[in-house]
Amino acid sequence: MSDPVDDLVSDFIAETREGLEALDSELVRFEACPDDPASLGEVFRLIHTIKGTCGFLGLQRLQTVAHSAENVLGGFRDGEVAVTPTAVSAILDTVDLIRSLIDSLASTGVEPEGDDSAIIDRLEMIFAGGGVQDATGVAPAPEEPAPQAKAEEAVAARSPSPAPSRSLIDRLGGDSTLDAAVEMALPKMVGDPRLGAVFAGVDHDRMQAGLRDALCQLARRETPGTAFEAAIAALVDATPDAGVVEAVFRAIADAAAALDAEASDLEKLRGLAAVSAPPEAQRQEPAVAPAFLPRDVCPSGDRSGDVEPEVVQKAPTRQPPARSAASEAPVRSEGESAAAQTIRVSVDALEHLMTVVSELVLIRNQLIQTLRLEPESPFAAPLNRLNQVTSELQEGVMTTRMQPISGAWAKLPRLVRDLAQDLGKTIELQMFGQETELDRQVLELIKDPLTHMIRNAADHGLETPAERRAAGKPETGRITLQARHEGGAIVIEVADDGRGLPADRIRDKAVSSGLLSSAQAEQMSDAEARQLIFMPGFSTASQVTSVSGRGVGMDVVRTNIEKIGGVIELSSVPGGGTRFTIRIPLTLTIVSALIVECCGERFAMPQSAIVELVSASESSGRTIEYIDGAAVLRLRDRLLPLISLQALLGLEPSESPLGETCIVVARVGAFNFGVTVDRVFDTEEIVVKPVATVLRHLKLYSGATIMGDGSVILILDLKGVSAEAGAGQNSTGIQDDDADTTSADQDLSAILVFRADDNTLKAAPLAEVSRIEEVAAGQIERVDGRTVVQYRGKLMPIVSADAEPAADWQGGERRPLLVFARDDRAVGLLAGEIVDIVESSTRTHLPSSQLGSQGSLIIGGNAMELIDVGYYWRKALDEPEQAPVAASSSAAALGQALFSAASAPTASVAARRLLLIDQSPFAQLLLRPLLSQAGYDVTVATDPEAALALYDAGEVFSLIMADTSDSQQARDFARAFARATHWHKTPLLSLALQPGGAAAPSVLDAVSEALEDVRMSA
Amino acid sequence: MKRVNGAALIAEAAEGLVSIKVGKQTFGVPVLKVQDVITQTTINRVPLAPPEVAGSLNLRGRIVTAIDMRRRLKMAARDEDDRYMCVIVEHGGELYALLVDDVGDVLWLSSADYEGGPATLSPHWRSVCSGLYRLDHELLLVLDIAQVLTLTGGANMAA
Repeated sequence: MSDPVDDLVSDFIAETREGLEALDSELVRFEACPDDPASLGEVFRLIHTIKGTCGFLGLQRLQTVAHSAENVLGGFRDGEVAVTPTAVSAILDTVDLIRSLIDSLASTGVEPEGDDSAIIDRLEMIFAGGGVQDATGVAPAPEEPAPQAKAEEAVAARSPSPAPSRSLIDRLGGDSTLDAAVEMALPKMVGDPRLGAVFAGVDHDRMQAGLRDALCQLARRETPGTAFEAAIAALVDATPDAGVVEAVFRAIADAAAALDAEASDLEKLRGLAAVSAPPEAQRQEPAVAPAFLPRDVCPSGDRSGDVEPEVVQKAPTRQPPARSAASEAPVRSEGESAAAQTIRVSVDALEHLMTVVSELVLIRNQLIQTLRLEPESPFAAPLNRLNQVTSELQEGVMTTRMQPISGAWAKLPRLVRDLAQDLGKTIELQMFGQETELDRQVLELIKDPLTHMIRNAADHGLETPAERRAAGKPETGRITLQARHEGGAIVIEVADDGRGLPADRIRDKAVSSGLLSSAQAEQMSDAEARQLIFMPGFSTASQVTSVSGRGVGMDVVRTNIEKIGGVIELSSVPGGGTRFTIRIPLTLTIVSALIVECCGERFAMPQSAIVELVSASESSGRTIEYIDGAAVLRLRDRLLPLISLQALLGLEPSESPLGETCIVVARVGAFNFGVTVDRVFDTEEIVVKPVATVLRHLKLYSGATIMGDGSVILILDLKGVSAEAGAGQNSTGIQDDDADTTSADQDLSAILVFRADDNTLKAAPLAEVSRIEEVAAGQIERVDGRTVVQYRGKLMPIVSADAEPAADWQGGERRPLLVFARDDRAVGLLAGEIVDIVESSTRTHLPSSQLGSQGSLIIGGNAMELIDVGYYWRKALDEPEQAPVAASSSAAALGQALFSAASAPTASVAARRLLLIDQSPFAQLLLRPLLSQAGYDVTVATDPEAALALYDAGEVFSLIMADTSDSQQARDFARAFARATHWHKTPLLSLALQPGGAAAPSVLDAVSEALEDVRMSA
Repeated sequence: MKRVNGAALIAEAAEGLVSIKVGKQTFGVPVLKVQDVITQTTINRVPLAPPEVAGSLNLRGRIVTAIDMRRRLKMAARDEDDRYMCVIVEHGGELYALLVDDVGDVLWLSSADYEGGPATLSPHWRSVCSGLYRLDHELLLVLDIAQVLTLTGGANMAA
């Protein structure tokens, strides 16, 4: 059996260590803004808790040191001691001392012997120097080194008679006492028939936080206010009557009295809270209050007011969440009190749980695999349920291992502060996304690399204030730390706004240290040269030049990050700063991986390093080319080096080579390369198992996993693959230059590449393609010279790529059909074959004069036409059955004529403004594009009212065209037009569309004639 | 009399060995090292692995590296359809499967019958055997599992 005292001590050690972590950042924050009572309160409370607990546990050295620090902090808070860097440094040193004492306490179980008078004297000096030294014995005798005596002094220092200089909140015992009082009063309030009804349904945590905050605020400000009443009002959503307010206050005051708060102080608080004094009869109550006290907080019966404060102070230690909640703004307090529902679990227990769950996931996968072979199995339903439950369990266990990244960051503000002082720089550390959670194992592993990078940034990245001034930058250098989730990974960015990485000097250094020949160095782009800082031997080779240190240990950083499956990237702008982007998986044991096959063997490739999948085959228009035996692929106008998995792993080539090769494009660092495999299966969540020792020398594998069918497959380490293939050392890879990718990315869009009937490649903007269907020749019907298919209960017109009715084809083969839909109508474009979907710029190289084409594109080294979807859509309107609008048949016929006219060159027509008044889609879809194409500036008004609105807006047109075939429309139009007096001189072209008018005259001719008349008459 | 004999036997039984056959030779694997003995199972090969490594197999959710003992002992390779057995041993927290031709009884052998390897034993075998026992009909070589699983040397590494 373990000693209960030891348990207490180990709890204390664990708690204090957590507290100390937080303390460093709090103190630095406090130094930056001494006016912030919240951060000071937090610091004070932590030190106070340490002091109190140490007193309880009889740890005298710690208690004494903490006490001295608390004095200084109290001085800060009361404004008696100025917040100077010296003072804060002294506090930080004290924190360090406490930390070392805790460490040796943890290792030996006893407090080490030692003399702390130096630091205590320092603190005393600061405290005394602050001016107000309270005569009532706040300061222990500085010349007294015996710890025992110090401890007694310390106890005396907190003698209960309140010093006049102490604030009300202090006299009441601080936020924590008030919090405890509120908490103790809660059951009474809820149990009280009257109050219970008032507070029915109010969350207890909210109640506690609201009341406590209100009281603390009043006690701290010592000015009367309505905060208490307002807090109750906010809780119950109504204005409470005075009796309720009084009863609540009394319950809390009683509890506070039981916690040794002075009656006079409570009366003062009552006055501040503007609570009316209760009738005398109710004053009997206090005697009952102690009954609510938890045993270990309630002093024994004979304890009077002069009880040692340490015992009372145990209350906050026992209630860590309440303690931290007390100082925070109410916004945070919700979350903080939620943290009350936590227990400590040993990491080993969690690790074990994780291992077991991993096994369970594997068994689940195997069962599911079996089920696929036997879909009728009676186990199907329970297995599916098991599947779900396992996934939930896995997720749940993963969550328990998640910790906010702030755990890894806690020490950084202190580090930066110390560095800034040492280096004589002013540095601001900004941290974003501290709440981002990641697996604790990962968290531990990134701590050191992050610290290293921050140190580098402060030391070498940022310039001195003088240099910064000279460069026209603000003197304060900035280091930004940012974390966020992105897909299944955590992205951490460390950026500084310093001098950047000078590529030239890195080149020189690489050459001088023999890593590169000067010829190699010259060929390198700046971005590549900067990558050299990650090379082992580069940084440590010499630290002579001022720049050299910039890369110290960066190879170690990269190794550590890659060890956990992460990647680190670097970008730098000379004079503008350096940015490291780290991408690490959320967890190490389960990763998402792409399963590929090569020569009959399956392998897993971690999804995190995969950029995209492309296929190369004769038919896709993308083929593998060879340069002196080295395989490359043209991908978006760049050459992608290819690595054959078969050759790399020395596998026997499969007997029947497949027609196409799958290429997995992966990215390691800034280096992109393709891995050719035979087949690509699905992405799966796999459980990573380490590689056996006898196989560790194989750098190509990062682990192994068991698949659903029970077989063991290897996880490829893409970094190892690229290194093995000699990639990364040469510069044939698609290397991203920091600047130009971003700009190029912007006008990229997804393009569907397909092969038309005539075997030419065409491209369609993927955004316009609603669906891709497959049709067999037999499904296509011919109606009135048009081809249609029955599609979702309607007839959908089908055209081929040349906009003509689709031709028939032989055989039962199904062909892809690109469906373009607008509203509830759709048009099908019959394609020979879907080739690929690529990201490409839609900027066309050659504007096309041909109808139906927006121009030509180069995709994957092939020229192809980018189709104008609108054209096919307009063509499809040519389908009488499909155009239910009035006058549609004639419109269609007219449209036909229009298009023939449009094919004639019309570019010479001077730009004229035309107003088209027509409500049918015909105007929008046919006339408008036609006229626009002919060089007119067309405005469409759907009805006469809209046209009048344009008139009122002062618009002037050269020609007005209106559909007057319907008499009602014509009358409306005439009525409206009568008002538009300024338009009366504008020629009017009436579009009297005749029913069945197959030989409608060219509208374009009519338009130009009408305009010609105007010109003649002018 | 019997009782004395038994006690003497136990005192002398310094080692319990699982007897295995690789080719025609009998070997002994310390019984405490052996986790399991399983029959033929699916082995997934590991490209580029040393030739002695036959691949990986899945033993109840754990990944086990299979070592072909014939290759390890530089014997003639097994025919495709020859049966084999897997002796699962644990070493350094990892599991390995020794592919052998047959598995016999567990023998508790008297240290009186033990001696070091003869001088004429090939250096290669000597490196993986810690000694031998004289049995009635044959000699049993004791395998040093740590050495068996140490696949070093350029020749072994060559893929």
